[in-house]
Amino acid sequence: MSDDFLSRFRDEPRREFAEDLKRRLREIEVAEGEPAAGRRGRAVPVLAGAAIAATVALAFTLPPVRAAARNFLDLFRVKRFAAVPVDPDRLAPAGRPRSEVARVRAGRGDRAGASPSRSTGPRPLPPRPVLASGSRPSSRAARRWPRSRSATRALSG
Amino acid sequence: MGGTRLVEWLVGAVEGEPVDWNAVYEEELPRVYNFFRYRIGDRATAEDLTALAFEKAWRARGGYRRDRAGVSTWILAIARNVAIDYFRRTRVELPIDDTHAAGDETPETAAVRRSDLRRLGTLLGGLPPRERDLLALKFGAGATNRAIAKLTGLSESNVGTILHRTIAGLRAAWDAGGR
Repeated sequence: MSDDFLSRFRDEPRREFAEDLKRRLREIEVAEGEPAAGRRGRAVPVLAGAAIAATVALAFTLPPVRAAARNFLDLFRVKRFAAVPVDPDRLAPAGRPRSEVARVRAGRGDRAGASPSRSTGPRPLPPRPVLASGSRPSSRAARRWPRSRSATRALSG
Repeated sequence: MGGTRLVEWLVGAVEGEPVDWNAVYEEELPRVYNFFRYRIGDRATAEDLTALAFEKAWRARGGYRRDRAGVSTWILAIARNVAIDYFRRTRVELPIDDTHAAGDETPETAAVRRSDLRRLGTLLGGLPPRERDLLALKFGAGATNRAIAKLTGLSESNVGTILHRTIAGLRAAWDAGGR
């Protein structure tokens, strides 16, 4: 479809108008300054970030900086560790009843008790030890302390 | 290389080559002027609005970012806003008036040209604002459908459809007018 009947009326602006407008725009340029200042203002954050990254990269080429960084990373590095074997005898002091320990030792675990057909409700708590009137839980803990210490010695020794 | 030149070089590397605003003026002046000629019609008003659009663009050119739009699209967007402000104030669309006659025109061709301009002005004046806006961008400013879509917020295919339909209607009206 021909549309030249629409585009044939394009017209050049008058020369006087174009020159007068150019002179007015030049006055605006002189009054407000070159736009390079604005461009530089936007580029400053980018350049600052690049400068910081370059400075950090250069700093790591210096031996003292690298040594300091290595020392800092050593704080988080695992150097020594101790393997702790799991023994049913050691589980008893942690609060599990002796009967359960015996069941684990026999290899049955908790699976039989977890069967729905044999499940009759919540398992009763182990009987609490009767304390003398003068004794307190802290003194009971103190009585068990040597046993724990000996276990620790056995592990470390 | 001095510190100032180094900064200029770094800025150029980050921002790209600076815009040659003199070349922009020479290239964009006819496009913006013809946009207003097709959009508004009256030559004197088109000159006033062209000057206003360029003055706004020159004051805002420090904030121009080439990564967002080409400089042509940027200036046309300013020109559209100027036209919108103009219609908000006046709500008058004038028919396209006669251009300054070419030096080699005979009185007869000048009369035919004036007659054609009046007919085209009447046809454009009967268009809805959106269609006239698209025609002004297409034939006045010489913008591509993609640039028009970016300027108006319409999809590119929608711009093409509206323009095709509008031109077909104008073509039929033009031919029915006796040519």
